[in-house]
Amino acid sequence: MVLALLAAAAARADGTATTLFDSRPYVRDGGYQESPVYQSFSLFARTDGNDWLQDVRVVARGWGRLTFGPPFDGHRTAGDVDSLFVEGRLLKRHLLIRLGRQLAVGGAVRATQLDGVTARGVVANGFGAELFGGAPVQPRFAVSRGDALAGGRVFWSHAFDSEVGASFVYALRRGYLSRKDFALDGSYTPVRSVTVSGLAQWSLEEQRLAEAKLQALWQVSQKIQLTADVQRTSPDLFLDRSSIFAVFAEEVRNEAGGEAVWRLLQPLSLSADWHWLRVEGGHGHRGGARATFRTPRGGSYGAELRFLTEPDNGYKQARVYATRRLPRDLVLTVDLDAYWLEREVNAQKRSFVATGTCGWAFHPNWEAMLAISLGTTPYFERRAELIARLTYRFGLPGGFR
Amino acid sequence: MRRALLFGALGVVACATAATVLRTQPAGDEIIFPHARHAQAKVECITCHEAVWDAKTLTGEFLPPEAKCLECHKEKKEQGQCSFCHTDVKSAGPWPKREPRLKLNHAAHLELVKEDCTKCHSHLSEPGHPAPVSDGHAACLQCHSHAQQYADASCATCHIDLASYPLQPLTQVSHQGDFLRRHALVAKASGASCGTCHDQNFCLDCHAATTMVKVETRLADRPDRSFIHRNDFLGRHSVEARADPVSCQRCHSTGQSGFCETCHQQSHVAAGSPNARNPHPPGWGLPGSGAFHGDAARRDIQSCAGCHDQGDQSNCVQCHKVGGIGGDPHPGSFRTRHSLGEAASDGRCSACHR
Repeated sequence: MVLALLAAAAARADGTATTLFDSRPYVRDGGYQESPVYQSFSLFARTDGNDWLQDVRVVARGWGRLTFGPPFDGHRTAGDVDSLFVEGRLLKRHLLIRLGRQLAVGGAVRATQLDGVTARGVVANGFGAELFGGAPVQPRFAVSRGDALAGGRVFWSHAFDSEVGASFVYALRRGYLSRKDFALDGSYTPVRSVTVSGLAQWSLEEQRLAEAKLQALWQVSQKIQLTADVQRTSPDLFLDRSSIFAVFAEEVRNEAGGEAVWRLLQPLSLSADWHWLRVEGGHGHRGGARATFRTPRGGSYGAELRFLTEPDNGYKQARVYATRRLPRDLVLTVDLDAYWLEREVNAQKRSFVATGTCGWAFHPNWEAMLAISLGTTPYFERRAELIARLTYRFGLPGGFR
Repeated sequence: MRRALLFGALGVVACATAATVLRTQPAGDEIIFPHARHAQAKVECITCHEAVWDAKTLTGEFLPPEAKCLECHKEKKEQGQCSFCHTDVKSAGPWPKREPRLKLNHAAHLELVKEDCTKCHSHLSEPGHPAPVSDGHAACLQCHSHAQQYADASCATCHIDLASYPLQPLTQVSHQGDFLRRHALVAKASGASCGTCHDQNFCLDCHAATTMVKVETRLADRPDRSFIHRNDFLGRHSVEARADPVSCQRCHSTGQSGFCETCHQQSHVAAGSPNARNPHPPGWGLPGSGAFHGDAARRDIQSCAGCHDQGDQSNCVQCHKVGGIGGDPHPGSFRTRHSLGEAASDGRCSACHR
């Protein structure tokens, strides 16, 4: 009700209501199909505000679920709120305040869903700071047991595409220290065709590097783009420090490689990537190549080959897909995906899944989609999934649509 | 023979690449039009771009025909001073026709901005200094909030054919290639620039701990988009997790209680599930067997946590507590960083070091 009132008062408001039915197997050998119906609702409302509070926005998204037949997780009904916050700008738009369920992003905090408050301000000449605090989101409204998170980031934004920052995050889980990290990050575009980005995150608790990454992107021409990156992570520092498993996990993983994208023709794009990776048990590789052809009418065709090897196992994957737009706003897609494992998983080495969809925008505000997926995989000798989706997009008076 | 064919193919690819990289645009005629000088002379935009005023799409002819120029500069043509307007007199011609790339209603916009064209066209091209027609997204977003369109990847609301755009203009916002893996670093270092186009619900499609259903299911009709868990990810998830445990732990940390257990218990491979089957390979309990659980746990503790994250009742603690049959489970460098004295003040340590 509150959302509806806020939206009604907004200068612009858009939203969607989606009904999704998804029938899929959850026990091997086709024992049971779980068949839940989901209803989700999202809203984005904005108003220009007044003299002291400008650019007020309300963002919300939530969902509910009703399961027919035996539920996978033992709950016939479930629901949650993904986002629900209100934000506005104060002091002539220099200070942004956001309050509610939101995503904290940037620097040491990575991407963490948070029930709390964020304040972001730009002082002058691109210098600014962001502070946030609250409780990490507990799925399905589970009870928090002493969970808390706080942090901040100071930054200097030289231009739209160049920024450096220093950040800090402190998190508790069940009252014990979960994370205490400091990070330096930056993104710099010295010339329009080159961007260099980097991050170094230091665990203050363990006095070790949790993550370091450097990547460079060069658009050689309007048709060629090259990327190179090197990364070092400590997997144990991505686990809660309060978890006993954090003292068992491996401490180092390295990766280095690159990627090339070539727009051979206007509608045809080729890309290839390769990375060498090292884990404590040995080393491996991941890579692949992809060709994409886009038609002027919005259709696309693609083919992809990928591989991954690690000390214990690996796989090779082949995939082709097509999207074709037909008259009367019909869209058909086909997706064929197969992979071959080097060593058996559940006594199987092969997997094949074929998916077909049909979408129909039968009204400017309404869209329907039906998808059928069939396959045989290491965990399902026969796998069938049926997805049906109905979406209603709406714009309230004054809204964009 | 095969080698010759291979080299031949490589040669063709190399030549094509070089031709693509090194190719320069052939010089052609351009119309010399100093916008600033015309503005100084109080020539209104409508004088030359009259058709724009009533245009509801960009498909019409909005640049002035030669006759319009000659209304003021007739004497130049009569004197044969072609280079007054044309950069290349030999190939002189009218404005080249451009296919529209945007859905834009000029008529409606002009009413909203009270016929002030500079609201969107803040920089106009000058002879020798070509400029984009407008400021791009920045021009649109100063008034419009297209967050929902971006969230739904509904670029077609404004863009007629996004794929026809070249890789440029901005490396920072280039989503070409494997952007799925690359985007994290971009977002960490300049998340505000992402926020220009994407609202938080877009990010939450993948990053929400509360998610309704995985995004690959919700957008099954978008095979062209990159997703992590597409199709049968389940069958190869153990390989992916061992190759890059961090990529799993970023979202599915042990703090997200129940994420792994739910699936493993339903599959009867979790401790405590009814009729549990032993999922461990032969040699799991034998050091040096190649399948020893200690080595596997160090590489991929997340898999262990899927079943055994039971706090003090964990199987690890039962065997690896001080005096237990499992012995010291810590990595080799652990003792150099931690003293036994810390055990008294750290809740994790007290599970074993009572």
